[in-house]
Amino acid sequence: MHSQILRLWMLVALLWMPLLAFAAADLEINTPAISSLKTAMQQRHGQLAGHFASGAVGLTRDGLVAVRDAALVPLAQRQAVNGLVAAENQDRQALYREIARANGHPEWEEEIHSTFAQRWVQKAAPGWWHQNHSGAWVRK
Amino acid sequence: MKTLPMAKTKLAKRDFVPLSLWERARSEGNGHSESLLHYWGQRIAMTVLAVLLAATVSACVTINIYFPAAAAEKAADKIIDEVWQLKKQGDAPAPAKPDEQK
Repeated sequence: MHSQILRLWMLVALLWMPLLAFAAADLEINTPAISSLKTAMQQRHGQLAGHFASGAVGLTRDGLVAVRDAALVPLAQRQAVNGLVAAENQDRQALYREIARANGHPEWEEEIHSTFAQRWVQKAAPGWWHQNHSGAWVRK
Repeated sequence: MKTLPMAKTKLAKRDFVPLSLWERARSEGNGHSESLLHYWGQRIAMTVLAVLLAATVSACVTINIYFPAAAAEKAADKIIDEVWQLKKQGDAPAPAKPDEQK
């Protein structure tokens, strides 16, 4: 009987162990898919950074980017900027989806998406434009 | 007197105490008081264990339902830092100890 109780206690302790690990755990973000998306976005940022700074492109409230004021871009470059924005948004959405999937919870995509939406704005450089909660453009 | 089926077996006396045993012990006198304490101690231990087990199982179920907001924020920050190259790694590429290995 005593050994039975002891064994049960050990079982309970064992069951709680992964929980403790979980509390301290990070999300998995080191998969090949996420890494390649990161690299692509990093390279694209070299081209987009100037447009963020000029205010031509801004951060939307839903975690993506958008052309805010096309007039700030020389006519010859507008098409290219549109392409950059479209590619960036595609990668961002793929990134949110991949993080959710890499952690075994595809249903987390929406929440990861909104987490990123907040963090992009939080980390944006002063002078960059972003949308506030009601969708209006504000300068940081 | 109607007793629980478990109380009829010999095993039940040592391993498990149905409520009817308590009543029987009371009518038999105090000869069983010591073992009764032992029985009830085990009963309480088993109850605590059962509650803990239930809590453990339910925790295991719920932990996967809730979104780990803090971990997500941390992951987002890490990725944004890399994509926007906010954390410069080239600042001090560990020449802190070039060491005088002459």
